[in-house]
Order: sequence, then C-alpha cells, then structure tokens
Amino acid sequence: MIEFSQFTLDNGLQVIVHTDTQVNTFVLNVLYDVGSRDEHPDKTGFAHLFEHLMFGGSKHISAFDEPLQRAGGENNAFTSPDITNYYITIPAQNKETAFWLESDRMLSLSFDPKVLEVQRQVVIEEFKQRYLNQPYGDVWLKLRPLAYTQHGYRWPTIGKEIRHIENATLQDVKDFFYTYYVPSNAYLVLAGNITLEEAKRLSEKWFGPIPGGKKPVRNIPIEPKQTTARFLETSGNVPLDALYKTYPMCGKNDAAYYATDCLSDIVGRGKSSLLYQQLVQEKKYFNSIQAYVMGSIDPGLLVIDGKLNKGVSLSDGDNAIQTLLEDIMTNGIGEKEISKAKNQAESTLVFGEVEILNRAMNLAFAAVTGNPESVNQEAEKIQNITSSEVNSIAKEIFQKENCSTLWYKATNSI
Amino acid sequence: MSSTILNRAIAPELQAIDRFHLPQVKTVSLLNGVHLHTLAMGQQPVVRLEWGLPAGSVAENKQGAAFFAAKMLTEGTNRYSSVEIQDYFAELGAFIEVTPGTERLLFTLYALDKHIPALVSFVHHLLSESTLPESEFEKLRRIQIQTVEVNLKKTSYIASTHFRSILFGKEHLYGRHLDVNAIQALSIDDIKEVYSTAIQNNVTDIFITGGYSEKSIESIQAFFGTTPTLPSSVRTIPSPVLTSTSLTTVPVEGSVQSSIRIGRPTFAAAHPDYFDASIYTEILGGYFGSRLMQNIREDKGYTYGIHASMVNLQHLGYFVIGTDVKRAHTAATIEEVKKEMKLLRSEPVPSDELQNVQQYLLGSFINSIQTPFAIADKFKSIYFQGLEYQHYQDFFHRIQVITSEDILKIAQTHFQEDDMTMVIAGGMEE
Repeated sequence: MIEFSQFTLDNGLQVIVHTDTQVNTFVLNVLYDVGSRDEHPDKTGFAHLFEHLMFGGSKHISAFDEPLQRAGGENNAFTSPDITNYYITIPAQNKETAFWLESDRMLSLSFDPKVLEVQRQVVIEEFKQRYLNQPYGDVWLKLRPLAYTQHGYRWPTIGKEIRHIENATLQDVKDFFYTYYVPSNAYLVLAGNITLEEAKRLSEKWFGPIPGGKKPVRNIPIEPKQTTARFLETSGNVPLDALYKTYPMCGKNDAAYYATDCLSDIVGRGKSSLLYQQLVQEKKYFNSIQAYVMGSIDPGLLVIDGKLNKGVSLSDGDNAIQTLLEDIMTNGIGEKEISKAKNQAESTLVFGEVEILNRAMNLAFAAVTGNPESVNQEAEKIQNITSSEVNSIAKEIFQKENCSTLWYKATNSI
Repeated sequence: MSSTILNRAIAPELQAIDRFHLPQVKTVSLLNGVHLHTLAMGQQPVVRLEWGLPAGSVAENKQGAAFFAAKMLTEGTNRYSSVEIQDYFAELGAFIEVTPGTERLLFTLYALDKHIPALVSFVHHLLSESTLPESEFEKLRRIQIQTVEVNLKKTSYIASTHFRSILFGKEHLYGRHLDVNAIQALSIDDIKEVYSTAIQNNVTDIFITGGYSEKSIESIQAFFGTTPTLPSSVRTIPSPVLTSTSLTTVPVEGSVQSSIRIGRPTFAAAHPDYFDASIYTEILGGYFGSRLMQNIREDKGYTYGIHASMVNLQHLGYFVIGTDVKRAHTAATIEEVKKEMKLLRSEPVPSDELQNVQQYLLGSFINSIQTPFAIADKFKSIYFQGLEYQHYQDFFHRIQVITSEDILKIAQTHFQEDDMTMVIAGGMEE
C-alpha cells in the first residue's frame, strides 16, 4: 500500500505526494507524457536524444549536474516508447535544490548548439554499444517493424537508424520542447522525507510560475488487427540460433492486462515455467527460453524468445513452441499453475515497493495511465485473476495468424 | 506567501550533510557455532534470507567445480527432482539467487515472511541432501558452454577477462575465467567433492533482513542451529604474482566499438590509502561530473560512458577504468585518459571541484543506506572483509576533511599513468 495525496497547480501540473519519514532522502520524479511512439516516422530516436539534452543546461542554470552534486544529490532519466521520466534522489535537507533545478529546465532549456552536437555523438555511441556491438543486439530493430505496421511502437526508442539522430536540428529540439515539455503534459511526484505542506509550498513556488502550455493531442495511428502470420529470417555473428515470437495483446489499462501478464508468466517466466520445463529441461531443444509482456500503454506484445541448443534446427524449435501453445489452447492451464503465477506476481509487487524511488516511479506511471490509485489496486487485480480468464486469453492470443516470428541464424559457429 | 519575484539564478541555500544513520546488524552465535546476522526493518513482510558457505572457487580442486556445485543445488535431491524444486519455490512466490564467488558461496532467498519457515526447511534439505544428478549436470554444462560462447562475442567481456588475467595471472583465482575447455574437463565427481567438503553441513553464516517474524527466526534455529557443522578447513587465497603490460590488443573482427580497460592492482579496504584512493577514483571517473566523463563523453562525445572504480577483493583490490568507444577514437581516448591522470598528479584539484565531489559522495552514501537490504549489504561488505562499522564513520569523516593536497599525493603515489595495464578488445581502425 502506497499512501499518497494529490493536487493540481493552476498551470495544470499534477502533483502527487508520498510521505515516508522512515527514509532520510527525498525523491523528485517528473514524468513527461511523451515517448518514442509520439515521434514522426522520419525523425525517430528523438524523444531519447532530447532526454540527453535536458542535462545540457537550462534557462538560468548553466549545468544541471554540478549544483545537484554539490547538494549531495544523484539523478538519472530514461525514455521508453510511452514516456520520458526524470528523477532526483537527494538528502532531505537539500530538497529545495531539486525543485530549483527541475523547475528551471521545465521552464526552458539553454538550447546550446554545442550540447546538441556532443549529445548526438554520445547517443550514436549508445546506439552502437547497445544495439550493434552486442550479440543479438539488433533484434528489436528488426522485430518491431515486423510486429507493428502502423503504430509508433514499430521503431525502438533509440531510433530506427543512426541517420535520424544525425539529422536532428536545433529547431527540432525547440519544437519538441515547447510541444511536450509543458506543465500540462507532466506529472510531478514528491516522495520520501517531505510533508504535504512542504510539498505544496515548494511546488507552488518553483513550478507554479511556469506557463502551463497546452496538453498535446495524441494522434498515433491505431495498429490494425493482425490477420496473417508474419515471418522474417535474419542472421548475425552470434554463436547460437535464436527465435522470437510476438503476439499482439491488450494495453496496460485494459481489464485483461493482468491475466495476460499472468499467462506469460505461466508460459515462460523462470525455470518453473512451461517453456523451460518442457523445452529446456525435458526435450533439451533450447539453451534458454522465456516469455514476457512488454507492458506498454497502447496495445502491446506478448513475446517468447529462446536460444536453441546447437544441433537443433530453428524449425524444430519453432514447432516445439507451437505444439506447446496448442496444447495450452486445447487442454487449458490448471489451477495449480495459475496460483503459482499469482503468488509470484504478488511477491514481485511487494518487493518492488521496498525502494522509495520505485514507489515514486510507480505512482508517476499510474498517474500517466489515468489513475494514480491504480498502484494500490494491482494486488487485488492479481488475486482476482481466474483460470477461465487466463485460458480464454490464451485461446485468443496464441492463434497462429496472430504471430510474428523472427529467426535469427548464427552465421558462423565457434 | 511572499510577493517577491522568484530569482531562479540563485540556488537555494544548502545545508551540510554532516551525519548519517546506519542501523546495525545484530550477530548471535547459534548452538553449533553458525553466525546468525539479523536486521529487523521495514513495515512490509518481505524477507531476504542468505546462507554463506565456504564453497567459493577457493574450495575447488578443479576449476569450475565450485561454480557448478552451486548451480546444482537446485537440480535434484533424494526427494525432489529439478522441476519439483523449481515448482516448490515458485508456488510460494519465492525467488532464489545462487552466487558462487571466489571466497564463498551465497545462497539467497527472497520471500514473504509467511512462507519463510517452510522455505528454511526446504533450503536445509537442498544443502544437505542434494544428489547432484549427472544428467542435470550435463544440461547445465551445455548451457554454460553456450553462455560463454555468447560472452565471447562481447568486446566488454573479452576486455575484462583479459585485463584480470594479465593483472593476476591466468592460473590465479582472481585472474582466470571459466572457459569452454575448463568446463569440458569437469566431471560430476569434481562437483560432488565440493558439495561434500564445502557445502554439506558447512553453513557458516546466515543473514536475515526485512520484516520477519519470530517464527522465521525459530525455524532457522531449528534447522541450522543444532546440527554440528563440519570443521571446515577454510582455504586461503594465495597471493597472486602481480604483472602488468603497457598495452595488449585483442583484435575483434567486425566490432563497431572497442572496449578499453586501464588499471592496476591496488589494495584491500583496510589499507591506510584506501579512502583517499577511492576519492581520487571518484574525481577521475566515478561520478557524472568526473574528469573522464566530462572530457571523453560530455566534451568529445567519444563514448556513451566511461567509468573508473576500485574493486574490492578479499585481501586485495584493483583500480580499473572501463569504456566502450568508437574504434577510430580508441587511441585518442587512451591519450585523453593518460592526460587526465597526469593532470591529477601534477596539479591540485580546484577547491570548487573537490567540494562538489565531497558533497556528492556524502549524499550518495546517505542515499545508499535507505532500504533494509542495502543496509544489510553494508554490513556484509565489512563483515566479509574483517572490518568494523567504524570503517563507515572513518570514510564519511575522511570525505569531509580530505584536501586537494591529499588527492595530489595519492595520485602521485599510486596512479602513475605509465604504470597502468591497458587492454583493448576491438581495434583501432573504423
């Protein structure tokens, strides 16, 4: 249970306060309701590049990190297909520094051309380090455009290609900032060692004077229902063949989300899952295999991915997965499997609330999906999952024509 | 409300970070001599329970035996199969981690308090009655060989393993890594030997942290507090023969980046220079405002990240700088690193910068002791290195009083750029 209060400033900024006096630190988390799904198809990777620019100085403060370090604070940020999230953790006595810094960059950036030039290079190296210089690193560059044909989820957050990052201009940066980085498009979570009165006073003082702007209207094409199976074969300098299968599913706000997540756990979370027990343990087809959901706000994907043991063909591995899924669709999943997955989900949830920063992020994410109170409804939603619900979802989701399959072949073996 | 206009150019006043509160772990000896370390904390009924055993790689006679003995703990007993063991944990919503190290093995369990008594009994069964089935060993062996093969495609893995084997020697516990040949040379008997000599009835320490109940403690006493523990002949790690090379290049064809490691062996946390060396490392490449990060990422854009750290081993430690850069920038990056190291031993750090890093370190220390698990980790770290809680008081104090002259001196004593071992995995050309 995460207790919280909420209020909205006159400029439209929504503020959520979670007081925990057991900790000596304070967390300031700002979530902007913009992610890579909002990008133009010819300017992908921009939301993430922009996140880097948020550290390059704001209107009244030439550097973001230095004054924060001087106050004993730490910070970071991340961009996802759905959102961009910034957070500061700081000893409670210096909390006002966090308000000062975070509000100034919400007011305006410095828009220094040198910052853009350097961060463009940094992001290109990040692209290489994470997507090109890792075995299987480019999988999502290939899998996303297979699984999605219209929606902004069809490119990864880092961007479709390095060229888009190379082409970004300072004007793009300004347009993006003034469109999305406005109080009416943001959620501010204040957590840890702070009282509600302090939270009200300091947010009013620092964030209150920022012009509210207009919440941008989201206009992302809806992904049409998949009607035929899709297939792509690719190869790379990797030691083992790998295969990936995606199945369209509902988004995070849908009533069926928790049962679908539960289904993915039963099918492929950990060594107790059906895929591991049957295809790693018994049949010995796979070296590793797992299933999970992407957890996106718009309709998402349930993913199965596995690496094959040497000597097992991709088609044998693929058929074995198909057989297992058909067995689930025909014979159903038993109560025992369901209660196991529910117990795992319940303890994952409770362990996830140990850290104050996680609690703050959970609140922000719940707020952007429409209702901060939903953080405290998850346990109940998990407990309410029924086997008939899980089984009917399995029957619907695992239809062959719903699937996009990627075979990743090893070009050479060691 | 005051009506004055907000002046955003002026930073809010700062207050000194001059104290910290670190709740202490309590240690008791059970009847059989096992040390039980307890930290009751947190309002939620989440518990982390860890068993420490002298079954690190130091206990093995053949390389890799301790690693696989650890992994085999969940692969079969006289009553449960591998599948049934996984199911048992999963049904109670429990998660386990098995961490085989050099000195010791840690078996970690995360669970809700209500399930702890049953799980304690079950873990006792694994630690005393595993049968180590050979077929499961073959499965794990195959998986591990393939994992190594995937790792060998990563320049970062290649650079790190080469770096340590140059520093400590290919044969030494700190310098070797589990390669395919070593894995293939193992037999189930090697694993059984580690199990019977260093795991069965060999628990030395138990750590329980979180919102646990008295019932959970009672179950630990019942299962782990009475059976006599074997008089374990704990081996000590021999001192490595330290070597260095100026530059080793491991060509990796087709890589788009080079991974670089630059560093040298240093000393354990008990060494009188440890605090100053740690603060030096922070200034050079520890935090985001560090010299290396500012120069090589924020000014030149050569990399996504560059980081310097001090790694603690049992009676030793090492200093290492690591980064992944565009191949064509490899040589320039090394030059810049040398330049920054030379600068730190030629000129005192400006007081502004020193103050920044001091405040940052004090704040991040406070930040690192806010959850029960993190607080218990702080204890484990000093306990395993034979230190007292005073170590943290001393470090906190040292951060507050260290001067630019102290940094200059430590840089000159231990961090000569020409004494560093360097490894590049990748290449110099685009």
